[in-house]
Amino acid sequence: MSTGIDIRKLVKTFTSTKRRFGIIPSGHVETRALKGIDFAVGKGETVGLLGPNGAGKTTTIKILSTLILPDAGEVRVNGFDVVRQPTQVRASIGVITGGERSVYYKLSGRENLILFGRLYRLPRAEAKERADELLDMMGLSKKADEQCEDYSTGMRMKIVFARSLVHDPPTLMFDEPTLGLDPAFAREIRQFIRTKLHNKCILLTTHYMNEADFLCDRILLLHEGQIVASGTPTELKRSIREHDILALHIKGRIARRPLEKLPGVSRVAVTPDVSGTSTLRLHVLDGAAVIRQLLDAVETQGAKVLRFEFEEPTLDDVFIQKTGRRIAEHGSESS
Amino acid sequence: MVRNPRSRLVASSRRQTAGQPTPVKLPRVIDFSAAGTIAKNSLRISLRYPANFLIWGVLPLFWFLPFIFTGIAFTGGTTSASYQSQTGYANFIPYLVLGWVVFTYVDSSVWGVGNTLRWYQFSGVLEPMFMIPAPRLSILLGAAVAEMVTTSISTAILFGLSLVIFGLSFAASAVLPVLILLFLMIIGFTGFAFALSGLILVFKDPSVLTELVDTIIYILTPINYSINVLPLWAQPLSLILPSTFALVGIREAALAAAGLPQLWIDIVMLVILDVLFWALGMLLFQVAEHHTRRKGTLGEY
Amino acid sequence: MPKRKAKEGPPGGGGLRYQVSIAWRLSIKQWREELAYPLTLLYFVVSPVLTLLPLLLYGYALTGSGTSASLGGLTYTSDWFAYSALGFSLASLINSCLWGTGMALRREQWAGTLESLYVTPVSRFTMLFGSAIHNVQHGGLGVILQLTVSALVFGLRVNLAGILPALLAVALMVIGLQGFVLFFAAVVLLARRAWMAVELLVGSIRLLTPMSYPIVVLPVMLQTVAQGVPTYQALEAFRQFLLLGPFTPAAWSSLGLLLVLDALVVVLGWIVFRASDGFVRYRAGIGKF
Repeated sequence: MSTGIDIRKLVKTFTSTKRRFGIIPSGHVETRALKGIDFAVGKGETVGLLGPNGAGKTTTIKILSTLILPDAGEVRVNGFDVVRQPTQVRASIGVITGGERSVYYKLSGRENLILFGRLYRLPRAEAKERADELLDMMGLSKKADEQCEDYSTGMRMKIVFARSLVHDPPTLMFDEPTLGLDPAFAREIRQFIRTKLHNKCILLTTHYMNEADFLCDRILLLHEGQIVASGTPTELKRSIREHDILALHIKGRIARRPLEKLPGVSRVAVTPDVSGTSTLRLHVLDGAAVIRQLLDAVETQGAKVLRFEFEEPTLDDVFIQKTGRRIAEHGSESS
Repeated sequence: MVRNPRSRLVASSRRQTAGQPTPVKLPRVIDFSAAGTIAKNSLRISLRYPANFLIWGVLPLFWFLPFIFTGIAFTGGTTSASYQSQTGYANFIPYLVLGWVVFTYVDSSVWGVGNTLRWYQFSGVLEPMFMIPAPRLSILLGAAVAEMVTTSISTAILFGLSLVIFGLSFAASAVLPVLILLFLMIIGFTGFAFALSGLILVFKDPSVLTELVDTIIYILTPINYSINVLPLWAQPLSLILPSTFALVGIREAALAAAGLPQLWIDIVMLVILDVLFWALGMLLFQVAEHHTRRKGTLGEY
Repeated sequence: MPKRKAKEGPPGGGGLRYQVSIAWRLSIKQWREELAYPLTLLYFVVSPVLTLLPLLLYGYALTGSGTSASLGGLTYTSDWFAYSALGFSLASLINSCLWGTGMALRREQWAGTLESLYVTPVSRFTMLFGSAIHNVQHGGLGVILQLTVSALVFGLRVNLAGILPALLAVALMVIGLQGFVLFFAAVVLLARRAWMAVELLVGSIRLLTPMSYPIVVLPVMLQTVAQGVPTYQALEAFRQFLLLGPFTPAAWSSLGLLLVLDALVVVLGWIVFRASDGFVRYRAGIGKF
């Protein structure tokens, strides 16, 4: 399989200025966004970069799309070096970033696509033909000549998708493509990626586990600038199969540490809910053996167990096992 | 057989397997084709607001009418012996009208072209535009061409209004020299706008920096007065601005009926400044772009 | 449009004290946003000189000296620099109020925060008032800086006894400007390309508030209109107090007229703003720009 994306020992550090009273500079803070990551994505492969906010997913996409320069490492897209051959890289990729706001509001959907077709060096006639083809594919032919400011959010997002495909690039990068979209439309987008773009080299970032599960041939779990696990979704879930996954729903707040000290408990993640309840997700070696001690430990801290259940491991569990925290601590997931 | 060489890129990318390099050589500094597409797009959007042209034709009147009224109050009429000795022209009204007509182009280069990337970021299209396979200077060049066209329409309205309001007239023989001088000045300020865009990319402060630059150019350019009224130390600074030579030449053509042969010094100086401004502007922009890509703040303001 | 009065303020009270404290916080927020750009401070410091220079150079080119017999015949002084410098010193305050506060809501729209602000218990007037506090402070500092530079660098001399009544004129002018601000804010809410409308209106006000020339040089119709512009009356009073002293009847007449104009402009502006605010919410246009 030939390689669309090839990253070796990629490092990126950001420096920001500390300010006193919000205005007076008083020093610098360094944030190591990427700490030497390595991975490759081949043609016909969809690879997901999964991780919480601040893990380095968007930084990776921006380096690949030449918006940011790496500090160290070698990054190639379709054989082109992102530092030395940025124009060639951009000519061979389609990128979604910035959401539905990133279209020209005062142009129609058709005009937006033809414009970018021309900017991606398509001859005029071909740009028009390609725009018609994509509008038809997206179900926007009837609205093609209305200005984008009159489109719904979903329609604008379709134009953003179509724009990334107008020059038929071999490699696509989607940065949180379904973030903020309604569940039905998000499903439509995922279905589109899976059925129409399966022959492309695709890198997508997301913090929706079921999206990664559905779309990706391979997943890389990114945490604080490092890849902590990689594999197919099945492989990743199997890697923690010696653990039982126990979900407890409790009323009240409790601390994690006393539970982690119980024999057989390897990881505990606590997610408070807004209604005063919390969800505990525990990785235990033998759930049946430790359940009574767990329930007692929860009640000792003054909380009340509402219900508990054994669950199948998810990618979130893999993440918890590797890092001790959840991917989406406070986020909601689309079905 | 593929006729259009550009479509080789398309043909190859359509059948391309990932990893095979694209055969077509892409421009490294400026992509004129992309610039042309961007210019047409900007003009298409501008033409959807026809009232803008009228407003921009009228607005500058509010900026320079106070100067005319001030002149009337200070001199008791429309001429002044002191003004004649300083500028070479007794009547300050045509002097001011020509100065402000030229300044509208300077202003549009600084505010329009210089802030192009900021406007894109505002509209949400900055990152998609940064990801086209063209050097980013092409975006600015396209914006500059569009700005030149739209400003010319508004300036024509302004000039026409000024002729009617103040009862002015100029020789038809002045048209060609004026257009040549204006065109050369616009080219120079386009290079300047590249540099300003670069500064804005780095400092992230669109309006204050632009205001500062615009005001300094306004003071140093002989719009309301001649450069010999400036302090001695400031006069050389005035002489490195394309607007100075353009205005001097334009006034000679329009008010003193000078022909192209008499304006050769202004034309030569404008060409030299154009080359210098473009070279410096392109260099500064590329340095600034590299710096912001290194810092990771390319699309942020 | 349904006529309903929204209950404003947090549950259990707040009222005027709440709104004033919010306005103060909004003004501090605007200072923080402005000062986040270091160049802003630099520009603020140099702008008094940069504003005066073109006038100074132009005036010198016209007259060849510091006096103008023609101006002396039309007004109470032939010192064109003093006449103009005092006029321009108020320019930053006028600009700051009209542009800064008039466009406050549009700035929030651009930033995407207007809808979030509108659903808080903060009244619309408070939002504008908060911006006004910042802009009056900003413009006021500009006036002081400008006058200081004019005095120290360019040798401007004023009648010190006239300072207090001059300040009164400025205070009354600021009140009148808020009336214009309410009107501009209404235009901004209604018009998509509002800044052009505001630019034209501000330009008109500046033309009719002659900073460097007496209104007698304007066409007759514009002279009549200028008499009804609060900023003109304020500027005339301000200038006369500082050049001629506190016992200038014409200046006090201007102040009296200014009081009446302020009341009219503020009331009209308030009515127009309330109507447009209701209209925009009725048409669901708050979040659009």
